[in-house]
Amino acid sequence: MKGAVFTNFQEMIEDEFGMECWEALLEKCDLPSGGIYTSASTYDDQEILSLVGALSEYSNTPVPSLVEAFGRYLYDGLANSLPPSMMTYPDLWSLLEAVDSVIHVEVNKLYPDALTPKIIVTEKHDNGVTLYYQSPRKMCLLAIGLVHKAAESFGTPVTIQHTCCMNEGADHCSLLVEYIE
Amino acid sequence: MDYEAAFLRERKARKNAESVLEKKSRELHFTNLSLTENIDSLHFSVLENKFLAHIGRYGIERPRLRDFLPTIVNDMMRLSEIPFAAYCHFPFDEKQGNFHSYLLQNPDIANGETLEIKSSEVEGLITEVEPLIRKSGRTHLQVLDLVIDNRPIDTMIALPIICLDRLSGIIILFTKELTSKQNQALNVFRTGIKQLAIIMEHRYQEDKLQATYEEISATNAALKQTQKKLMQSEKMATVGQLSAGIAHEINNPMGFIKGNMGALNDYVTDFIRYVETAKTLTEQSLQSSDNEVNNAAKGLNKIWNDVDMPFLIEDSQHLLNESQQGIKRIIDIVGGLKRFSRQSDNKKESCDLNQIIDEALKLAHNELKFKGTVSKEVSPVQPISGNSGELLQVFLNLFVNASHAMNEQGELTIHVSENAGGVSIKVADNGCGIDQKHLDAIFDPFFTTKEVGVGTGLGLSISHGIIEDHQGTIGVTSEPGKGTEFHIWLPYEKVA
Ligand code: HEM
Repeated sequence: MKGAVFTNFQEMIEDEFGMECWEALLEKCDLPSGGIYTSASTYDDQEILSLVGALSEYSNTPVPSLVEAFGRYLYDGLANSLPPSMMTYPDLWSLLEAVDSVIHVEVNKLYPDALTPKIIVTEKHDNGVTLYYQSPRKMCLLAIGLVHKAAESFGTPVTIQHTCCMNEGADHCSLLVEYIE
Repeated sequence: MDYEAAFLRERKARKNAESVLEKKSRELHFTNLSLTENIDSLHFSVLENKFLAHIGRYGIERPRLRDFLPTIVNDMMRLSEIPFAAYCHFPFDEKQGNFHSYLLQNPDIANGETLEIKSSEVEGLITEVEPLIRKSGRTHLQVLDLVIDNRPIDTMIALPIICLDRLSGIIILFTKELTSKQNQALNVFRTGIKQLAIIMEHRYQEDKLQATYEEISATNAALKQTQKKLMQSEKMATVGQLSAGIAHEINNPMGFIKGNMGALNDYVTDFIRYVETAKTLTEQSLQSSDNEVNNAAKGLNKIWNDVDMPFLIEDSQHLLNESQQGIKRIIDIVGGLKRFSRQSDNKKESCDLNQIIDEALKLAHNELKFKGTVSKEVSPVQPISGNSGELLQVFLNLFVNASHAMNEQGELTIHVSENAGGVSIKVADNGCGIDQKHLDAIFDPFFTTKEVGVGTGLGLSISHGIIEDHQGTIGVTSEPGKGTEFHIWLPYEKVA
């Protein structure tokens, strides 16, 4: 996982739970990186899983909600890291369509070692879309958080139904994203 | 000390550093990208150059197109990163037969080797595409749904090689999803193939020119030879004319010599009668008692004995006979010469073939006399209508040829008989015979196995012409070492 994800995670902890929490998590997890993250490097996926697990214990919150919450937090951090000219989408739907074909492509250009998921708009409905998610990391909840936050940034909050999920044995996830009437 | 402010400053510094890093990273990416593009286009140019250089080599090293096409097709697969290809060759020389290759695999994929894959599916496609290309003369693109060697194939591109308005070959490429780079490569291929066609055209013209040149040289040589031979036959004709003149000149004195010899013979007979009677008188006078008579008789008797009168009497008759035979021979030969030289006049007359053959034998006597025996098996035949001079020439020619073929133990057999409404003549010798390969050309003008200057090579071709003129046939069989037999057939009545 890219360092940017870790630095954003660290910031989220510091913002929400304070620096002591971050120190406590690091101490608990005893990570190979020692918790020294920079955005340009890449770190073992296990580190983020350990950190999220430790946070769950620390905060008494189930892992899934934490991951989704982190997705919401992460969105701004990621969006701001791009040159502003690349984030000029008129609405949520055009942004979602651009994630796989433009945004993650840019990410991979910048970091050839990045491993972005497959996120494709497979169906368009009157008031929403169906997203297809596929990744060995099975971090669909992170995607849900990211999409929620993206929707808010356009001022159009959405509901997301997880109609099938990789964590339940499917070969991909389907996310039905719809405007709230 | 406010550590938190210091920490936040440091955190901000790190973030700035990270964003600078990201910017650099992005720049690096673009530099990288253009570098890769440059390398790609360089790589492409190198392959393109190689491809075009190979095509150029076709013009210089002049390989056969069939041997050369695989090189070009391999180049094309490498250049365009197309996995499979095949080609057809339709040679100019139709005797060579058309050629369809197997499916070839890109050597870059197949570990540096060109694999040949047999695929009836692909062969079927090639056979289908050929008539389409023949009709359009253009590049043909076709969508397919194929899997070759575990690779999905969805596009077939068939490029025609058209040289001198004729389809000389087709190069067929099989690929999946034509990329823009492959499209670019296709343009290079089209140019390359056009260039190839132009070189082929030049080569074709060059070869044709060379062939024409060789033909002209051969014709020229043949003409020179013909000229030489014509000069020779001109000489022969002159000799013929000369001999006709001489024959005429000889004929006149020969006429009176013959007459004189006849008279002389009569005179000598009278002389001998007189001398023999006078001898009886001398014998009686020797017995006489009259001295005067006796002496005169003795004188006469002495002369008788001195000149050996009995021998004189016998030898004079002999000499006269011999001379008269000689004169007859001279007259015969001169007559033959006259006929021989009269070959151009086309008068048809009644010809007694046996007589003509005899005459020819007499004329050839000089050639034949040291070459063994001549035997004739002749049955009486009716005369035919023809030109006796020409026919004489035919037989003379055969006899002279036979004499050249034979050594001292030669045997020339002449057989004349009636056959199939005409006269059949067979002239056989037991000479050296004629090779089969020469036998076919024997009646061709100027064909000769004799040394230059010995024969004109015209004899048998003229004979052939003469016999044909008489509506007859002439043929030959021969066995090397055993001899040769010519058979002539001449019809009694000529078909108009
Ligand atoms: C609604 C929009 C987006 C969605 C739904 C989305 C989704 C995701 C998800 C689910 C992952 C986790 C990796 C995985 O599941 O395999 C991910 C990774 C990532 N995304 Fe996005 N993303 C979005 C927008 C962006 C934007 C705007 C950026 C801007 C740079 C970005 C940059 C990245 C990066 C750097 C990673 C980490 C890849 C790695 O660690 O190898 N994403 N994204």
